[in-house]
Amino acid sequence: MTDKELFQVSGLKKYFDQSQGIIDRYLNDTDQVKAINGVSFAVERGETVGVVGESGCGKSTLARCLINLENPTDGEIKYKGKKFEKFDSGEMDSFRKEVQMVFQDPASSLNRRKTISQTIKAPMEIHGIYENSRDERVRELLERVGLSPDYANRYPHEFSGGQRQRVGIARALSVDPEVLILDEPVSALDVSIQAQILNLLKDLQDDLDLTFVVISHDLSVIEYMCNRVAVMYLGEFMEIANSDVLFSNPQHPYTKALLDALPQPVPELARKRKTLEGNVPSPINPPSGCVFHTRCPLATEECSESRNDPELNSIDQSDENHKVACIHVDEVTNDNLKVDSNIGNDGNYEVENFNS
Amino acid sequence: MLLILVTKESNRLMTEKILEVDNLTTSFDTEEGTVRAVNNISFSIEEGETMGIVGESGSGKSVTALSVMRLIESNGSIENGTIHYRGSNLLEKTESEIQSIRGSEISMVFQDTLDSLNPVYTIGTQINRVIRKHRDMDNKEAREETIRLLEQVGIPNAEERIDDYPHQFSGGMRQRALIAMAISCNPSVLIADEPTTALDVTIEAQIFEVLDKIQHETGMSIIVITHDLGVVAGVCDFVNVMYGGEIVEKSKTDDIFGDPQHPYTRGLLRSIPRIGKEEDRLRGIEGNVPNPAALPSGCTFHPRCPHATDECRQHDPSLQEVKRNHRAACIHIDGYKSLHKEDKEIIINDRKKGESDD
Repeated sequence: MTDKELFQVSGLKKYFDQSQGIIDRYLNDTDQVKAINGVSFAVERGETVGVVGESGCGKSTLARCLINLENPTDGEIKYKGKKFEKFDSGEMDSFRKEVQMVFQDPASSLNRRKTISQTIKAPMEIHGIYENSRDERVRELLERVGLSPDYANRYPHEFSGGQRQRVGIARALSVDPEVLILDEPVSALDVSIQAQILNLLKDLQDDLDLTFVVISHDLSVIEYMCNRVAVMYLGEFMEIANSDVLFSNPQHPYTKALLDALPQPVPELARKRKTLEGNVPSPINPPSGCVFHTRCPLATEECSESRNDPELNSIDQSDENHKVACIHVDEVTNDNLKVDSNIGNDGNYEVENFNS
Repeated sequence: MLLILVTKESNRLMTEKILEVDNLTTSFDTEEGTVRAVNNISFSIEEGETMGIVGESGSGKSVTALSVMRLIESNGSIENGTIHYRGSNLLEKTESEIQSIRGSEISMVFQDTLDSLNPVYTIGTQINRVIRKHRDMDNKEAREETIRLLEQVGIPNAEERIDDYPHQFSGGMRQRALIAMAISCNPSVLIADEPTTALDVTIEAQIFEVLDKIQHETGMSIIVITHDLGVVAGVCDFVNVMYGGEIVEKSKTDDIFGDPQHPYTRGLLRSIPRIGKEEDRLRGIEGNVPNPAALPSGCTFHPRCPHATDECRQHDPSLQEVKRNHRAACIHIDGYKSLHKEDKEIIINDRKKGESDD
């Protein structure tokens, strides 16, 4: 435990009761959705941690647990060395101020009856800060996120999707947070707008010393944004590593499958896309043993035995950040993943060569 | 004798292109005035080919598909152009003639599988109905055919799953079922409008594998409409890039990605972070996607284009061949000016006009 660690998550579990009929409830026969099933990791100051996975893997629930919107079923989350349950009301207030969230859908996360100035001011009012300079602060924040300060009195419907996401970011920044939790920050946006928002987020991080937790299904967004990446499947981490290591030397068969399935805008690579068979199993009744064994090309009988649910383990003593949950990890070869940025066109066009 | 040979030859040429769209313009009456969603676009597709239409929201790519299917809503109309399917113009057909083509000769798969399927009928009933409308089969034969189709698109236990309702299928399975429905009458052209946008990447790869397999078996042509350049790179033989209702660049897939010409295509490709490439910043495109109800004058891309000049603001460039089989609509591309005197004259005239106005 160092001072650098902002979040310390250990053995986190979050189960939801499946809503069912009154008789099932009376008979105490409810199913549980195991959204998060034993996840441990830490977030250090100044870094960007990514959580990547397919729909239903529990990544958004994880984000909600991190900002204390959900009570964990088991396990604990510490913020700055202290468990959430132990916070007194003052500490809870400052936690709520220091950790802010940016949501996926900028249309539904803004109140359409309020001007964006009112929306951006609300967190400052709640926390009682910038009391005499809130209008000034709104103008400053709008400029900071690339919007004209003159837009302050407009309503959300007057903005495009990308502009609304900028408003959502301005709102999150209004109370000088230390951590931003970004849940699919660009997946509702057009490709050309995604790049603008990603650039903006990187600039803000540099200028304001922010720590980011980025939740996304998009591997290329995760790679661009993050220092460290966790790959999540059915409520568990399959692999966690520094970003450059994860993308150049993936070890877990699921990480490899995700990378193989990624449609890259390079025809030579995209045509070699490989297919992972099967569907994600139900989180109500996840497979025994390793949760990925039903789709894994390397699965053996051992993998399905319940005592063999693999833990995240370091695979390389020189790199303790790289941990993999797979008993076959030595057999995962790297021959079928070759990401060569020299193949095809890498998207760098010299403007000088472009005659006008 | 010669005459017969000539007709035969021309017949052969006629059948090569399955679908030919020429100068299609589709507009809608809205509260904001007339919106020209698709503006004078042309493309064609041959048997067994896969063509991509790629663009951002509001670029007109879905309206293009709906125009070909003659499914434009009542506030919209096809103002201009022709759509030839196997040599006959679809726009001249009556509604009942179109109905016998739609779903049978040309069929479509949509993005949202829950909206496309009726929740109160089983999957089997819905596919059955399409088969019995277009093919001469009784109920029992149609059911057997439905099971065969579900197996073909990779649904396990098809014999049992045929009686499931849509909510009992996962998203990927529903898309497979919709593909089964779309191919049930052996269409010559399948239009897939964002077929995998709602699906996870691993499921997306499965769906395109199924489409590829069916294309190999039946030789149908596929039009893929998507915002995802990665999908286009993986499955299409050639690509049309749409922006503001117009096609701004078209070529073979390898040329679009390997040597993009239009500033919009270049910007779009730069906007995507690449795996395995150290990037500090993405050099994407400035500004916002234009509102189709208020398109800029001249070249629709000029407000966001780093190369825009006064000429661009006044003059809407048409698609011109800038390289072999590679066409783009931008007056600042090298090959463009020398090749196309007409455009040059227009520009010069515009300039003169501008000067005299001053």
